[in-house]
Amino acid sequence: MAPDADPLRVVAGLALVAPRIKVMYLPTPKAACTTIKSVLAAAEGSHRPEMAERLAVMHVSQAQTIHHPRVHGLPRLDDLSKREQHEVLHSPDWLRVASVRDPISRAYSAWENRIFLRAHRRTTKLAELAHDVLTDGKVDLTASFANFAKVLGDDADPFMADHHFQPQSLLVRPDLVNYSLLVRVDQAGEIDSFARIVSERSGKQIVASRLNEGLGVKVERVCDAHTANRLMATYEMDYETFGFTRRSWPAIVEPYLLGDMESRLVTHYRSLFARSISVSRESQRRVGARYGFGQMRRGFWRLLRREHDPYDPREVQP
Amino acid sequence: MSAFPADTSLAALTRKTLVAPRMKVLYTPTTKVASTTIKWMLAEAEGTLDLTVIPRLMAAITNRSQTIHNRHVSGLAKLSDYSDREARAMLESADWLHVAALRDPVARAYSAWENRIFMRASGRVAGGFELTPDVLVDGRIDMTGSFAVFAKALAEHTDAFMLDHHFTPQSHVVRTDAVRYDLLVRVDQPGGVDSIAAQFRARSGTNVQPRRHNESMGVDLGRVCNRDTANRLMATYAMDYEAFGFARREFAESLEPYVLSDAETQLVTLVRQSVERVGSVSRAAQSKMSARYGLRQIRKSFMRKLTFGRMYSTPRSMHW
Repeated sequence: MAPDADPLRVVAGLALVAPRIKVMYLPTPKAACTTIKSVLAAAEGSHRPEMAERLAVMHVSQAQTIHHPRVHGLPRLDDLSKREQHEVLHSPDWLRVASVRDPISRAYSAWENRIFLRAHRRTTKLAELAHDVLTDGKVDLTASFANFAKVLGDDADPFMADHHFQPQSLLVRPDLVNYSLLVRVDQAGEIDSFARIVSERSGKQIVASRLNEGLGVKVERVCDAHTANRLMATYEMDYETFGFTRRSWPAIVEPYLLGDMESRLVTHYRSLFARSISVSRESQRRVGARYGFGQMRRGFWRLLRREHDPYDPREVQP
Repeated sequence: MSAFPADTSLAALTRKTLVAPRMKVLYTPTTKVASTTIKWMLAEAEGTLDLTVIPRLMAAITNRSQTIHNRHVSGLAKLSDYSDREARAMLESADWLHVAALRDPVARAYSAWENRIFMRASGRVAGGFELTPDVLVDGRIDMTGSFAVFAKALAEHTDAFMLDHHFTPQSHVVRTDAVRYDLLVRVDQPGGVDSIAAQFRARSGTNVQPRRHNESMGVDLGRVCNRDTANRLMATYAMDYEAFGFARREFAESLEPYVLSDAETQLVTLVRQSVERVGSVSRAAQSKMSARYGLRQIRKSFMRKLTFGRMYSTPRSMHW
């Protein structure tokens, strides 16, 4: 966040609103925001999953395209008039929701997704800072996560440009917004109970579906007390703001070494993502009037030459 | 009945053959037979490799090394780009070296299955993946069982798979019945690919070396293919055994199921989800090539200027 930015304006830029069911949701990355956005968009009737096919933006899966405004179809608080914004933020008729999660579980999830699997185009530099750690020539998840916690603890700034690593208190801002509901997504039944509330407000039967997009490795298997302490220090403000319990962690955890096939699959996944980012970038370059004129000129020549076949996907254009 | 297709027209014989005119080399690539490695070497030795094109490709190629199969990257023309007279002259001239490669059919079928079906690399298998569902054991993927299901489906619905050239018999591509090959190597035998590299080095004066691209899962064929599965595949690819005299390998009568761990199963799922998404991104990206799209871009640029950047202010919104 820019130091001089108006904090409420920042919140308004992030918060999504479902005007029909009168719900405002402040998404916190790695705190079930994919599930919650899906629930909200389905309840509001604004979900357009078919738009995913028209998006040239890379997401790790089709389910993750819910984060694109064209897919979830929910306006931001910022898109409303001042009067409407005031109503959303203060009226008892509106449900103001945010989700939070144990900071260490969230940090692990963010590391696994953004850094370890490289599942975002902006995290290449972060992946270099928090590189893989090898033990006996194999990728060691425990040591790699410990290395991330150390790098993050030593200098958090490079990571904070990515919302996934920002403290939840800086995103949710309970000091600015009077939330009706804070969903603790790592506590049993909390997401389901949110889905029930939304179902009642919408008159639809909405079920929260769990999206299993991680490696399936439990944080307890890779996080020792030393790593946990570093992360607790980095996310100190979240413990203060939301009163998270400081969990106990074992002093020593056995290294979690990836097997040969797991390593190959991780490498394959990373290459795949790098390649898809390349496609997405090339696509995003194809905007603007100059490109438009170029396409019209090409179209004109095709017409003159009576070429009716669609463009060859192998074609490389200037 | 011949092991080779009946069509012996020049077009059918050389449809996939690549030409390296400087080195005077013709290469007929067969998918899942080290064609990625050989194409990289050929383009490098010929001096036509253009890596600057890679970031501009919009096809759903799932790995950088696979971009060599794009003609703009390899820079290699096809024999079919030449006139019939020129093509015949190249094929018949003693100055030209015609190269092709072969591989044990069961090993090739496993590689094709793992890549195209199991890992979902983009292909054209009719009916999607319904014919070849994963076999699961306690929620984890059984590779042995899944490969056996594929072999059965391939035998029963061969035509559905043959749209994808990764599954077509090698005898449909390497036409020793009608074309002279000066160098026909077995890539699964020691020194096979190296002998091609040596020829490329001698003809180009470069020092090209074969590189392993290592994109497989690293599973030993003998660990996932039992005799029953192998027999089905040998029957499906009987023409390859007949045409090239491959030895019929022995496979274990029964195998312990090769079951992936939870983490491996999860990683396979993640890869598949991403491959699916890359396909969508690629299709969406390719739709941005038309006069109509160009006209929309011009209109949006105009509106953006008119509203002092309030409308269509991000590349995301410019895309529509």
